[in-house]
Amino acid sequence: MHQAIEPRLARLAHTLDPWLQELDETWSLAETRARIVAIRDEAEDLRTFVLAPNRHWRGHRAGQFVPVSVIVDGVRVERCYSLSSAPGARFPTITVRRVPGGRASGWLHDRATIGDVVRLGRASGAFVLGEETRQLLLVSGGSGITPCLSIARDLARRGELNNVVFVHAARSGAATPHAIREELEGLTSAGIHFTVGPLTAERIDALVPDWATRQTMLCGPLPMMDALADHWHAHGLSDRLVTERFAPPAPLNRERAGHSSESTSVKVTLTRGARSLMLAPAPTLLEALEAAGERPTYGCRQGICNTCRCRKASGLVEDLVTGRRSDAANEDIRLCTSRALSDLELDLGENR
Amino acid sequence: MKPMNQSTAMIPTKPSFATDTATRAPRRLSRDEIAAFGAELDAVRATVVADLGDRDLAHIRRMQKLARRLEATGRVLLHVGLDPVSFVGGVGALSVAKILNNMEVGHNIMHGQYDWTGEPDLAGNRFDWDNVCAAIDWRHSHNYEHHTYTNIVGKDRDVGYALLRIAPEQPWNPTHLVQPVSALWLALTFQWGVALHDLRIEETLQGTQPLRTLATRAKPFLRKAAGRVAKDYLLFPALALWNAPRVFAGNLLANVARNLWTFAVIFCGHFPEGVQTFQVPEGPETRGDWYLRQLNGSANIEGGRLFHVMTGHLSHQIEHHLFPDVPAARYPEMATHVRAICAKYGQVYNTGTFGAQLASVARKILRYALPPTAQLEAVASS
Repeated sequence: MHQAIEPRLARLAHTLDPWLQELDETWSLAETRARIVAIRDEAEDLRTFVLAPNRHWRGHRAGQFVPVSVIVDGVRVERCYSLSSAPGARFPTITVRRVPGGRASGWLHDRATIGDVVRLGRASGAFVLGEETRQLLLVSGGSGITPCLSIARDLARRGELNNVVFVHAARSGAATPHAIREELEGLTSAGIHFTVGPLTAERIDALVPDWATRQTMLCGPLPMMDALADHWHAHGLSDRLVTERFAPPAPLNRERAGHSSESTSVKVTLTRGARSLMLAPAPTLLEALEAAGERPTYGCRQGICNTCRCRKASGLVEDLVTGRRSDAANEDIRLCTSRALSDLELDLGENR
Repeated sequence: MKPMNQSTAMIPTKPSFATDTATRAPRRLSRDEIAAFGAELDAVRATVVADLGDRDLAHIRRMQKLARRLEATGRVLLHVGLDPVSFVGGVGALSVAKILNNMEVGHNIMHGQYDWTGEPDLAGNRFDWDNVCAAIDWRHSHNYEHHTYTNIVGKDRDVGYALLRIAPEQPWNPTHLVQPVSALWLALTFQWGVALHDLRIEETLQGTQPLRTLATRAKPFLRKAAGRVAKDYLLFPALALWNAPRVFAGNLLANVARNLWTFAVIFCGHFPEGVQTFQVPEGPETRGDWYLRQLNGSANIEGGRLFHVMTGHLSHQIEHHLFPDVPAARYPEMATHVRAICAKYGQVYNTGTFGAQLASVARKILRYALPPTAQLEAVASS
């Protein structure tokens, strides 16, 4: 989300942005901001948000995702969502599935209204079209439809959708995005298959007999992805399969492995300087880093003065004073009162 | 941790409406009681932290917007007006803007009170304010030194700001005789006093800090002060063309008004009578011990909602010292619980009106201007 902007521009933006935003909330010298200009219900728990970004938006490639941040209960929450629009669209769209208990998707589904302003990062992701676009098979499940939809819309725009087969599986009839299906059927005479229930290898065989000759792009829930990837692998066709996984960013390796968190080392990647270290178990991250030879800045060492606060790019930590767990990407933590519960990526700042 | 200045309770002072609680000694707590006392304060904190949300973010955004708009109003009035009324209005608006910027907005954000919002422009370790004190110096001398070692003589350099003698444990020297005058001077120039505080100039004068160290320490201050001075006394007057003297004078008065106000509020936070000073702790301090020291080392000022906002809620100095990283606008509601907990454990909750606390500080500055023997004689002869 934090783009590399010149410090001078950042200072200027800090002074001028509040004044610009008194006039229009999307105006900024440095930040990519976008207004929600339309909201469409696609299916049960699946909504499309049409965005009007400011001039900092640099567009996207078909299949990429964008970090979106919104304010939920006073807290800025950032999540990545796949763009569902074709590249070059004047109004890019994100299509968001409601995650049970999810803060950002919950806010987007329950609270967001037309006119609200969200902040965007830069589009990224490698789930994009390669050279071969003619004999393409797009397979999606659930909200995995979004990057595939962007790719299909891109191909349609370029008149290359006719040999493409699109297979989508929804968990139920209510979860099937009918408007999207109709739009795709209107775009091409090639195979558009919207099914209900888990998508198995046999189902693919039946719907797309020539699947093995095609370049395939696959995005969906993990069990479906694993099952289909095995199928491709079994036929020695793994190099013809491109996948996109929406998985939790922080591997909770200790908890998953059932180890007590005091007894395992964690790997910490320092994003500034691009180094990794193994941290031996210690009561706090500050002590663990010091034991590994690092010299992070600190003050009181008891959670009062905030000197050791730094940015955690990814991973799970627990604050020993507040008991609060931080698992989202790009949250600030205090080293002196935090304990690592997974491998971490940290930005210790300039005063290391 | 032993309170050192219980002797102050024995020095007769004129009865005042401020000190009926302040002169009462707190009950000595057992180790178990201190732990329980700490746990109860932790619970107060946890309740509020769990409740933080939209309204807290909206509050700080509202304060930022108000400070910004007042600053613009004040500057426009000073720049385009020609009459004394718009001059007074301009100075007033700019003074209030600077006070809000430094206190309710800057001081509180720089404590990390809004770090939980995840908003990059509210991050405590990146925020900067309209003050000649460099943010990086402030975070060290205030957030770390003062809030960790509150009122420990020799550790907390805010005890008298290395200039005034406000506790009997501070060794007296002849410069203290003029401290009523130096205190007034400090009040008028307070932002400069605060900014110079972290440079430890007195240590260089005493020969304990090399000149080179001082030069390194001075860098952030010089850069920051040059920018502030250029803005208020060169750039804006120049932009005002023929109105330059008026803008120069208006900016100077607004800075002085902010200095006087912040000085008065901050001196009432730790220097009224009844506030204790401490020795360097002998062993490790528990969270309960720390809470107890913060409580006994701080004093509140009573007032209404507007007054609290204008002090950046430092009128709730006690709550601020107990919970420095909780959004200050929550201190009034926390104060109810803190007072009840203090009463339950027989602890003194030092509070009074602004006038009473100020008078109490003034008396202390006068009393400790005199050397200890003369002080005793003065007491005996009265």
